[in-house]
Amino acid sequence: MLAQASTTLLPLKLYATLPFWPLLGAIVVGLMIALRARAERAWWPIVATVAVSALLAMVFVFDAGRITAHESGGEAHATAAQHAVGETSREVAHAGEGSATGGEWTPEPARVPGKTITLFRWISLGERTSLQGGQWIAATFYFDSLTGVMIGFVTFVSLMVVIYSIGYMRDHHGHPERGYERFFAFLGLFVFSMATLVFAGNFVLLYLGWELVGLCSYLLIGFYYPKPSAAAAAKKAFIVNRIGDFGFALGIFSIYLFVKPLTHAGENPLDYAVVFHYIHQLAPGQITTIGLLLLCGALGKSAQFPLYVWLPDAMEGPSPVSALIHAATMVTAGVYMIARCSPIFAASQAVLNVIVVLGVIGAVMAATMAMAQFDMKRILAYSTISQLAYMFVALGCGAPDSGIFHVYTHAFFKALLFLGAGSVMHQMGHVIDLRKFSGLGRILPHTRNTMLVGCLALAGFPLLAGFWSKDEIVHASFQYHPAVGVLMLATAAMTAYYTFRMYFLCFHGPTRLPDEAGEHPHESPRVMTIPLYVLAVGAALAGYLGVTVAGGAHSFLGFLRPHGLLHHYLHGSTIIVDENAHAGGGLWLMYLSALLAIGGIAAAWLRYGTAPRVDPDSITLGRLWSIWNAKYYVDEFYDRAFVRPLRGLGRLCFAIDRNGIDGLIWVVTAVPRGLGAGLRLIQNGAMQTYALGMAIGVTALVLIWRWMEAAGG
Amino acid sequence: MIPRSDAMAALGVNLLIFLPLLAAIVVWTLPERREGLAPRIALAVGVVVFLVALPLWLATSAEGLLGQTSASWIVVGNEDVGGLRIAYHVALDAISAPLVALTGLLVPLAVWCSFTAIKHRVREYYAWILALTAGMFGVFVARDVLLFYVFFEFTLVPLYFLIGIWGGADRRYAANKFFIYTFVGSVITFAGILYLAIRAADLTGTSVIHFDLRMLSTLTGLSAAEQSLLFVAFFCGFAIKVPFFPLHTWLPLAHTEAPTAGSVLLAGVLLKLGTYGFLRFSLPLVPAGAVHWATVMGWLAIAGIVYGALCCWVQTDVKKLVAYSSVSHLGFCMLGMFSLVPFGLSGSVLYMINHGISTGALFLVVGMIYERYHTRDMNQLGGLARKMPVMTFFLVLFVLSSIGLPGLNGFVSEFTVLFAAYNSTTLGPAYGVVGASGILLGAIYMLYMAGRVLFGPLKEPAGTPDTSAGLTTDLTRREIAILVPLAIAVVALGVFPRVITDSLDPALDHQVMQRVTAAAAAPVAPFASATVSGETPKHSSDRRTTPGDTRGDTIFTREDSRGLERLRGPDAGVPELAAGGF
Repeated sequence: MLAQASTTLLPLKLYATLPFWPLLGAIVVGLMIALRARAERAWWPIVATVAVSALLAMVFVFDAGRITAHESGGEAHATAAQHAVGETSREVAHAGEGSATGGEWTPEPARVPGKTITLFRWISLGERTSLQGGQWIAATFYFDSLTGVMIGFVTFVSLMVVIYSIGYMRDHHGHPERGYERFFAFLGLFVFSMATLVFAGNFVLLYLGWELVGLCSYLLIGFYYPKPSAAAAAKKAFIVNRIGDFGFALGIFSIYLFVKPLTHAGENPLDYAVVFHYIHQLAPGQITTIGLLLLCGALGKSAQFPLYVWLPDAMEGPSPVSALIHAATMVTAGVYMIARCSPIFAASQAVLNVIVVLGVIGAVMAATMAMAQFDMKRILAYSTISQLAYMFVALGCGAPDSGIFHVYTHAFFKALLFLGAGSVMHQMGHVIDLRKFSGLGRILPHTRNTMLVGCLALAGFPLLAGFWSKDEIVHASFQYHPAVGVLMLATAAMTAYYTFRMYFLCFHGPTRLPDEAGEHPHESPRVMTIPLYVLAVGAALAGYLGVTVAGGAHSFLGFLRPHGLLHHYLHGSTIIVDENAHAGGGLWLMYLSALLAIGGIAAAWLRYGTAPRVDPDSITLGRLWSIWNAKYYVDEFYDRAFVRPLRGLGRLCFAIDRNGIDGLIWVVTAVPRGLGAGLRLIQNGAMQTYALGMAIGVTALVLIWRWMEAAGG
Repeated sequence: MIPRSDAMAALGVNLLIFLPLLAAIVVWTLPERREGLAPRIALAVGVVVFLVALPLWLATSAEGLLGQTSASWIVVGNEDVGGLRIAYHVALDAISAPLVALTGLLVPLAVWCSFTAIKHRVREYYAWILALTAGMFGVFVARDVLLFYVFFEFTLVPLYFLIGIWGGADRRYAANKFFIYTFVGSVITFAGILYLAIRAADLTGTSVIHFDLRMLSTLTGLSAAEQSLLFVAFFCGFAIKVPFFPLHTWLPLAHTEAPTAGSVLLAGVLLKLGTYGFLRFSLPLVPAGAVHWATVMGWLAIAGIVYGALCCWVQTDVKKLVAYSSVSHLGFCMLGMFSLVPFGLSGSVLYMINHGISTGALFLVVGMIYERYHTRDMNQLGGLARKMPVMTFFLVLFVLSSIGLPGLNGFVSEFTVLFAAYNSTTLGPAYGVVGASGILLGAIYMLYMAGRVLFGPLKEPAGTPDTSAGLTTDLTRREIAILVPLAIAVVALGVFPRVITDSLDPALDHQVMQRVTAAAAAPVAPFASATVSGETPKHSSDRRTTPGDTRGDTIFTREDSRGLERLRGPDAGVPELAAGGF
């Protein structure tokens, strides 16, 4: 315990409370709803508790670096630390039967440098009576620097979004919307779930966080539930995610199936530490199976091809939800999970190849669809799919640190863009169609300014956050295969183009307003614009945590080089980075990608700079544009190929149920009924008589049998 | 209050049977002008049995029996000339106690939810509910197999009348179908029980045939063929009760027509009589039969999971949808049980409890909607969330519990069951994969239902909601009070399932798992004696072989056979309150 106190600023147990603060807030708001307290105040428990979590997370970011720096010192020390962690858990101390983390602990594997904390034992896996103590699914948290990066930006962006929501979820007179308190309760629940997902130390707890964020997504997409499209979108999101989770669950089962025979007593085959330790002893086929099944879950949660279809529809939710859940945090869970499990994925090149292929398809496809939409939030949604696909490519190319770097920068600028779009929507009377307004720059100056920063960052404009992280991925993809690199660069150009198409259509040109906007639309209140500015600062500068002035093969402007602080920090986690992953592409690549970004912006300026009322691309590109606009008819295809046949199968089953099985039973009983027809005379229809007759009959049968038995024996 | 002495516990156990029975007679014979007392008496009895059942469950430990009472009931002949002895032998143990607690929880809620729904033949109605209560408790506490059978059959009668008198439009047909279906099945089970007892008397060398569960579940010497046939005989009664695909067709009809309380108790408790029967009797009494049929059971289970779920999706009647979901859910329960690994059994028992809570709760909420709108047709209902936010909260919570959201109770059992099937050497990954598709299909049909009923624009039949029976548009306080205990249980059992499994797991291990393991290790009789005499195939490695182990060809071997010896030895530490009379 002493050793532990000297290495961290705050005790680990205190960090372990981090997820529970927002849950507490959600419970308080829930009680306020139950007691019918005034909705006006519903924001404060959530803002306060999320702020506590964010503060804890800031300190944790420093400590997580210390833990991992310390732990990678030596194997012997790691063993001692494991015992120390065992002692911190009350459960373990009191159990006395040996435990999952204590007992006979084999030396720590080299690449699992974090600390595991067991909160309590959750689900029994039987065998409790045996000598070694049972197998458990425990609630364990795992702390390393990857946890630190994730929890840091998750809580920070959450705090900004929660503050923004105080103003957003009100009408023009400042009165709270219907369901104001419900909204905040769900947000609190979400932050809890997301933090649990990030902190989870074994696969089942990860699955818990995974499903709970999906639940919050479901509840918040369906926030405007009387609207049929919102209700349908919520259901779609949950079910498409469940398709992924189906694979994910099977992946967890497979891990147990394959890893369990290798483990020793006291090791839990569901803990990250144990799985990563033994993963190399599995057969290649087993690793590939696990990898592909886990990937299924990531495809659903991170909205990747072919399971991306739920994310554009999810824009039915309130804008802060789109910003927080569907851009900055929840959808990055898939990337996080693959990065976390990079010992598994790095061991199977086949799975990595699949990830790259799906990532490239997703990136290009989503970018093209984004170029032909008019709904601002949907453009951003497709952009999110495309950017997440970038991260997948990074993961597949053996550069998960770059993937996580992009997750982190993307969180700032994409949350900013969604909140900006929300600000526009709020003032335009919930109209978000780019054809219905233009020239809003004069009415919404703060929104315009901050959105400009966000758009530049997303477009990969030099020196802003998106530039650095995207560039690393492009380098890694060139190292993987030049074709992938070229496609990534093309996507980067398209990204710049569609982002600024949206920007110009919204803020440039003559001022046009929809009828819903009212008489005098004005800039959003300060409680909304301040988070925008904070995030804009992040969107501009967050990238510099991943940039250094020394070392590295290539540089930008002669002194800014990739692989900065963040990467060194991440190297203390379970992430496995291919040493050569970042070497591809050559020295000129950063300048080329900067040029492409500026070129994309310039092209958008030429075509959309005056916010024309008829989309010029729709005329130039014709049929191709229509296909993009119709989203490649993928939804229609899924409906015909999967939904309708499955429902048809349901109808078939039900028809069988009503006629077939009952009919069969009717046939089977026809014989005794035929016999019974002759005996009908002595039947009076009373149930008791039947019962009596049946009992007598059976008894007689048994007695006859006994008698025969006795006679025979 | 935790019962301190075994005498108190015995009093409690007997109270669970006789208090409702007595109350049923009292309620039945109430004078007509006192009719208003009937629901109150029934509720009071319900609360009392809950207050008795809960501490009894908390007091059960992993080992031994609680509140054992044994007396001769029917004795024919004596040891010299041979004969028959049926004992009134009741007790609780760690396997039955959670189910007793579940029954104790659901009975008062089922009674309370009938207050506004039942308006005619009130005394009779509550009398039947109380009689049913006695029967349900009797099934779970019976330690004599024939006594179990008597209670098992007895539960049919009250439910038959509850459906037939207070049910919906098609109630007569539903009641008859329900009765005949289950009765025919259980008669075959009865024959199986008799055969088993007679053979047991032969094998143990006693001339008096008796049905003691402990004796039968430590019996050795039955041939594999006999066990296999006996398993089929037990299957007939239990599988229909479960209801196990393809013998489930009575259930949707019975559920749809039954009054709400009947549905709650049917789904919550009565279906568990079937699964409990499999766990308590089929597995330990004829383990070789269970091992022999395990893959077939697994097949039927996954077929039922998928088939039931697909049927759910095309329903328009909410109640029928929930009824079909039971077919799917009980498939999960059976899948876990016949994975024949320790956590599969434990997950299966948890599934019984959790299904009882969430499906019971769903039926309660559906009943509350029905009382207001007089329809359960999803084409006529929609968007109720805006009108009934409190109801919506509960319905969404129970739906989430039902589709196995982690953190709620459904997840724990669903996950362990699938986990067990996937890791089982009897069943294996293929069963786990098909079974796990149920978690996807479950989300599809349940969210389809929630979406239709709760969300979208408001849609309600003309002239509704009908609040004439003292109801309000949203739930009344009484209705909230009915649902709150279930909501608490949903969360509590999701976060801390160990409150059940801590005592359950060792009990399952000793009473069921070791029998099955031994049977699987040596499928030809005499298998159990081989285990005790130490001839178990010993593993050369020092590593314990566990169910997840795919390298061994046995399901599960362990060197620790002390549990079995304990089972076969005299009941140390369990006082016989009344010694049997022969």
